Amino acid sequence: MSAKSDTEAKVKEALARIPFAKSLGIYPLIMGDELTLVLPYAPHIIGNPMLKALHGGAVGAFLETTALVQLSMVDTELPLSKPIGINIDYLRRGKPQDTYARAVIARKGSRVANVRVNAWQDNVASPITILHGNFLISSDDKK
Amino acid sequence: MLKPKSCMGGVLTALLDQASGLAAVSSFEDMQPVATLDLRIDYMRAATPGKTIIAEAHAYKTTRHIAFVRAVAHEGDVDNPVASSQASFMTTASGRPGMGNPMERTKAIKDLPSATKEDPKGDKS
Repeated sequence: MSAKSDTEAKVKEALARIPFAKSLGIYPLIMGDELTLVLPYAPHIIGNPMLKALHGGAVGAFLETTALVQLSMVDTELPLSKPIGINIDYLRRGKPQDTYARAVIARKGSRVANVRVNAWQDNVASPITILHGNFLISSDDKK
Repeated sequence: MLKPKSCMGGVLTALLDQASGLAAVSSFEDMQPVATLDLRIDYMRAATPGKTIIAEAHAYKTTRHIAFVRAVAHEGDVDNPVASSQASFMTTASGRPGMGNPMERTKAIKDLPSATKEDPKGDKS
């Protein structure tokens, strides 16, 4: 119980530090220490109105947010990590419905973390977009 | 409260995807709509707070269905970029009639399903 509300508070604080995440309406779902972020469907994140496909930039930014929030859970005191290089693969069209994402920190060094993020809609096993990237971890001596 | 700081990476992701997508669309002879296949971005430096960011995209190679695009995001000086990207796009029309018709597009935008009204369980932002 208390562990959950603790994690939830941390995540909400991290999300509140990203105004763009707020404008996309991103909110967390927490099961134990497992974090899932939700990108709720809204007409303004459609990129192709004819196909009703979600905008790649919105989905990409959502995955990046997921990576940043997952990293911020390691140490909530530090400022958010910064992306160095990311790679996004769009596997399926984003349908006009809610999208979910979960991040896995593949390796976390002292300065750089390698993170993988999966986003899905109907089925976890059929991701619509995958991100992997390197992030510069903020440390105390900077800023 | 939060002081306006440098813009978040995600904003650049969206900007570069949009700019690259438009370059891809215009690179096909008949302005085909496209979908992003992959996008890789390098973030070179933090953007200056309050400064407008410009994205320049160039579709340097287009095949029948695929466009390859490079893009740079900068604040006025291309030689001092904020981020750069490399992306590939695929046409999605597959012969759909009226794809390029602005009237049909306007109608499609009007017909978009509206977001579900239920409150997100989490933040009420």
